[in-house]
Amino acid sequence: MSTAEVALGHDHEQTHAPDTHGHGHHELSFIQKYVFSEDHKMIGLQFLFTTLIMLFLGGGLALGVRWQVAFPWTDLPILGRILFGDAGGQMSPEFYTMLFTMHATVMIFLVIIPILAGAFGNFLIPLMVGAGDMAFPVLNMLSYWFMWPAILFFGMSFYYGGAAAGWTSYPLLSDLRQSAPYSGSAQTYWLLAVTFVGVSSMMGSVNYMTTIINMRAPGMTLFRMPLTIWAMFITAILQAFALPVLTAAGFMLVFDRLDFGGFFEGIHSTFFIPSGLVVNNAEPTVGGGQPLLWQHLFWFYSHPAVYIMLLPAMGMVSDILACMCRKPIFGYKPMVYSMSAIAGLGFIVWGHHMFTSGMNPALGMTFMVSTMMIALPSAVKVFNWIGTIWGGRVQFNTPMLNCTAFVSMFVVGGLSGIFMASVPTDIYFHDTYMIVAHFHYVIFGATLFGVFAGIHFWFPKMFGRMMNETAGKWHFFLTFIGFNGTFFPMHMLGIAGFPRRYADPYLHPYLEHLMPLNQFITYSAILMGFSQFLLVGNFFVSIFTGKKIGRNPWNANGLEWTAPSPPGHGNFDILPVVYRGPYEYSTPGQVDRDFLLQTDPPLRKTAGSVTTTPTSHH
Amino acid sequence: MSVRWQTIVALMLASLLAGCGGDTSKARFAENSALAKQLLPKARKAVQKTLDDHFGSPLDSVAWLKLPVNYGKAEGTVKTVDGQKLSVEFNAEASDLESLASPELTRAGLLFTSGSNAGKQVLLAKFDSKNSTFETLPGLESAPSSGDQFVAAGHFLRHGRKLYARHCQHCHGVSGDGEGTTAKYLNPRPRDYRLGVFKFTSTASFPAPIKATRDDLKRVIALGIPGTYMPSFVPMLKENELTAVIEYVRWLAMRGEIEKGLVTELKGEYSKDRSKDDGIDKSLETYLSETYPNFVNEIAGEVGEKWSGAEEEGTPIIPKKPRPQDTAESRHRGKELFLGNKAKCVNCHGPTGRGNGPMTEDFQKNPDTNETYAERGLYDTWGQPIKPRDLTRGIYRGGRRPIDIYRRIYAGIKGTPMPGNSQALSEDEIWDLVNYALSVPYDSQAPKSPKPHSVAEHSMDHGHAN
Amino acid sequence: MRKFWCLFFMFWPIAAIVYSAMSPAYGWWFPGPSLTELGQRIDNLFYLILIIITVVFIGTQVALGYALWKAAHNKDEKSHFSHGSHNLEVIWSVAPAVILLFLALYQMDVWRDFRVKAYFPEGTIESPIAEVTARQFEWRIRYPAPGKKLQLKPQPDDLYAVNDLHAPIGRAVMIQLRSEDVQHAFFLPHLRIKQDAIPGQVIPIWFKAEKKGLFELLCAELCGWGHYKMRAQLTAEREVDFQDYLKKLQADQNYDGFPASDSVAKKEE
Repeated sequence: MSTAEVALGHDHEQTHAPDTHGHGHHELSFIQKYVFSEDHKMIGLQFLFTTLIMLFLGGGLALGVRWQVAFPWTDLPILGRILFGDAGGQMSPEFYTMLFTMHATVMIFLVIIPILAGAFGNFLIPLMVGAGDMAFPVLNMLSYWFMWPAILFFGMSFYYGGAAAGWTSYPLLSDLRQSAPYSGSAQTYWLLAVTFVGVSSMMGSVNYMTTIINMRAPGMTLFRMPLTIWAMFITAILQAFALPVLTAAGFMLVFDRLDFGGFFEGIHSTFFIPSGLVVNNAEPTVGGGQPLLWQHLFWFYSHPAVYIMLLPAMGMVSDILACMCRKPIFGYKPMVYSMSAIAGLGFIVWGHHMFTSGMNPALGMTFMVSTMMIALPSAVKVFNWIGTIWGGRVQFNTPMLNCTAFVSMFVVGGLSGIFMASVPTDIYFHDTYMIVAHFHYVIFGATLFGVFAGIHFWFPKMFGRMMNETAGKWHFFLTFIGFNGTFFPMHMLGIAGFPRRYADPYLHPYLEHLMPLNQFITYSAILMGFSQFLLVGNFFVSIFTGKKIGRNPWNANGLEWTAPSPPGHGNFDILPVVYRGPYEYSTPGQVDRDFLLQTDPPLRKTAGSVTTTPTSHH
Repeated sequence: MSVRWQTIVALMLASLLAGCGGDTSKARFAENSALAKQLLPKARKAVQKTLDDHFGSPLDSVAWLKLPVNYGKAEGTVKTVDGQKLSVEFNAEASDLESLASPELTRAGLLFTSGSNAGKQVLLAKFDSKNSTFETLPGLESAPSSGDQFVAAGHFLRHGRKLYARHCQHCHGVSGDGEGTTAKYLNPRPRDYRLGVFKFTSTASFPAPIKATRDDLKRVIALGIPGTYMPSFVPMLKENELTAVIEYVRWLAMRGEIEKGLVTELKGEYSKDRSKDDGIDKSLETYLSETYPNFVNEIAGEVGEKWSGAEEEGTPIIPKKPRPQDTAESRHRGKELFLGNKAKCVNCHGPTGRGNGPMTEDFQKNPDTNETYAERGLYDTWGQPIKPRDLTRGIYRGGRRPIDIYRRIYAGIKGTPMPGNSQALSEDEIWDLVNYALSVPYDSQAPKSPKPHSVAEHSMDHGHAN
Repeated sequence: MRKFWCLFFMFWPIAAIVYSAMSPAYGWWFPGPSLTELGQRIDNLFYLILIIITVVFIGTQVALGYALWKAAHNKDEKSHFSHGSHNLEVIWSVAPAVILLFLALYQMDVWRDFRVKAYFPEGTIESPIAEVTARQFEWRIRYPAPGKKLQLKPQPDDLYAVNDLHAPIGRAVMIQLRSEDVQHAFFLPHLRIKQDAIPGQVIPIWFKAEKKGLFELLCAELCGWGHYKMRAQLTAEREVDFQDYLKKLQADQNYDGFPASDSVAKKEE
């Protein structure tokens, strides 16, 4: 083979790379290096650690929900004794409404969105495009630290009981303080917390867009970017355009609720409050607002939000699949166009959350068409992933297993979505467990398994060590079984008309026979929940005792694998120059190895062997 | 498996099991501490012990057969006696035999109706359905003998408790004190049963207030109280479930009243501020062993009589004449009475019936303590501020039938400043007032609140909150 | 191990299909056939979509499983190098697009018939049988007096009930849905009807019950801690029974301590 190729195999060089930026650098203090770091890798890890902790909080809240649905009004483990001792550990109905509200809130705003954009986005984007850091390191640091006021405000919300109007926070339940036990201060703090999360995300998205547009290494054209970067880029655009609407809506709701007193005694906005209502025997409302307005504003963000929660995982899975199957991704450009179509269409489907809301039925018709169409690019992507695996030399390791689960579960989630996209069937399924099943399949079954894959795949790059493969496989196995045991039966519950957010569904005779099924679901959920200790245990222990490896343990072809593991400040000891696209695996004609790095220069003919000269493919 | 992984798995299992085991929480009746804190500690404990003995705990209730509560029962005859174990034969016709199989029978009361222990009660510890054998707790002076007849009771009450815990507890509280977890967010507050007073009854208040009947309670649970958070529980509860819950509520009410009676009695001599007095401990001890047990029976008897008195024939108020034609003249007469001095409705309900009469602006006095309330306006017996009904809204908490309005005016609303007018007004006058009251929401002459902007104009949206 | 994982990924879709197939037998399925014609159309649509997605599900899972199976036996050979296939992309873009578009357009009429006022059956809009007001946490129902039309404003002779909505079978009827406080939703699972109740709005809902019976009515939009407690029922009965019910309601509502026959004569002008 050509000797001009740089041999970058197992390399135990792990010293901090010399600074390639050219400016004189003083030693950073502990605080500057590990706490208020401006280094994108450290910020990414901060996001990762924080979100993994929040994962357990969100999971715990979910187990509380599952306990009540399976064993209503019985002694709640651990918390029952502490909070409801006099009542025999039996939780109160308003506590239940808080549980599912905060479960969703924590999982969406403090786990899934930050882990995808904040953890992986931050860590990977400069490395994969060949930059030394993000475009705005200080803004990057702020985007992490703005999460902490949000967490603090959620904590304050819990102090007042915890918001309980659903993560969707529909007025007037969330708007009128007297309409529900925790619609007082708890709800206000919740709104402020969500605003801070939004600000953090917007800061991040600006950074990602700028870095991807401006700071790519020489030779890295847009169509040579890995799909992870495309996904992060499109996600950042989604965040930038959708979040301001949620932030505005949040402020409107806060002003509806607050009474600043003094000169402004009794004066507040009434964006969402109609007049003349007497709730909880308070004074009649004086208004002129429209509750439906909140739904439009909220879902205008929250629908793109679900794609924010999906696209980065899609991108990561594409990269990992190509690597583990030793094949280029099937249909790179269609994949890019599909993600763009998902994002674009994602802005015009928000009304499908509101089909039964009382909005003009004509809107129902238009949103139905756009919602049906958004299934198309997702389907195309699924076929392309299968095409990637087809004929590949598959390595059945933990990242691969998690990616396969992603594809498999995403098929289920996508297909069940059609019942909701179709308006007439949505009349029946809206606010039943069919919806719950659908979104858990896409957010957990797809995205979270993609995250697990990403964690195992990029852990070596983050820490210079491998995670334990046995533990990884056991974690996958138990989580997969627990997950399907928990969420597949929920489709049937939906068909049976089992409503969401019910503390005691068995009051209604047509649901009485469903308790055993719900108990099965709860047992599966407990199995699934506790399996996560395997992941976290594996993660944290391997940081210290995992097998040490070099730059490219997976023989992957992205730019990040040319940097040391972990990369030092400035990332690359040798400035990358990109000659070829991503996914150059098993290029015909190669003999010594089955991949080409993006930085590998074009192969030349040498005497005695005929090699094809691969040009950069799209 | 390496040590590292053994540790991780062990930690996982440990956290899994952390929630298991240990004492499961047990529901407890709360003490009426506002009352009881005035007593000497020993006296307080004595009251609590009495209540524990005679009422038990929520999961372990005791059927005190002295009280007029339908506990659910089984009758039979003792066959053989073996220490605490009684092998029995049941009188199938008079017994709810199915319920005997439930574990809820334990700690029910077993009352002997013949033999040496006639009239005495013993608590049950266990029931062996296969051998039809009761195991009793010690407490009888003489051993029962073969042929003694008995009544065992308690399971129906347990059924009521189960329903209460599922449907009512989080507002009305485990003890029926209206202090459930949700209660503090509700306006008006849920009922505190412990005074034994219920607002919307069909019974008289003069010369002495008669308790609510079972039918009254049933109406409230079945129809709810419009304008409040007390919802209608039908069709959620079936007929026999309604009956069970009602029994349990009555039982809780009696428990609360007995607690109050005991505390009031002890407060005279054994209040906290006498703790430094010489010989007070001895005096209390003597009292508790000699006089107190009889007093307990006495007060139970009193309370029981009041409740069974409400169930007697003829207690619901029925007017002598049916409602007259709802004519303009009748309403006009009613309006005159409303504004006039005989009934003085205006003082609270205001000239247009909006509930803004002058009494709502004055500072009122607490009739029990003679202290002035902190805020202006009217208060109910439970110490909560209360507003007179806004008649323009058309929401009638006690029911909208003419008979319901009649009863409100005739006997007032117990526990509130709404007085009975049976002495001040004749029946015809009351009927005229009924006709007037029912017409107020539709009276185009009366000024109303500004029209709401909502699409539907609805008189329910007008007027002040109350 | 490689084969184990292949089988693992092939086993789970089979388990899912078996589980789905046996669900109706265990009652983990619709709460009975739909009792309205509109509901029947919704069910038919459901089954159509179910067939389509089952086919797609089996197809993709089989393809995935086969790809993995081949790969599990492909330990040493090189991967088949391919960047994609333009033809395949076209096929699997156009085919789903056609199916999806078909689904979207095929069912417009069901939605239109349900919600667009101009398509409500004759006689429903002009004479609603009742106004149903959702409140925390029960359903308050207001009927017009027998023989009269329901007015937007409550009338002195209106009849009131709570949690028990009666409706005649065999003809299309309409109710006006309102909310007294926060958002609720009117959900009749057996009739496949759902509509949110928005405070400040009055929303018409029509339905035609085909069979007699008692059917659950419950709330389907989070309205507070008692969201699960709003248990009510629809009593669908013959027209003559429905009229009798209204008369009985009227008699009850005018009860003054004396038998109904005396009270009926005292209806106000």
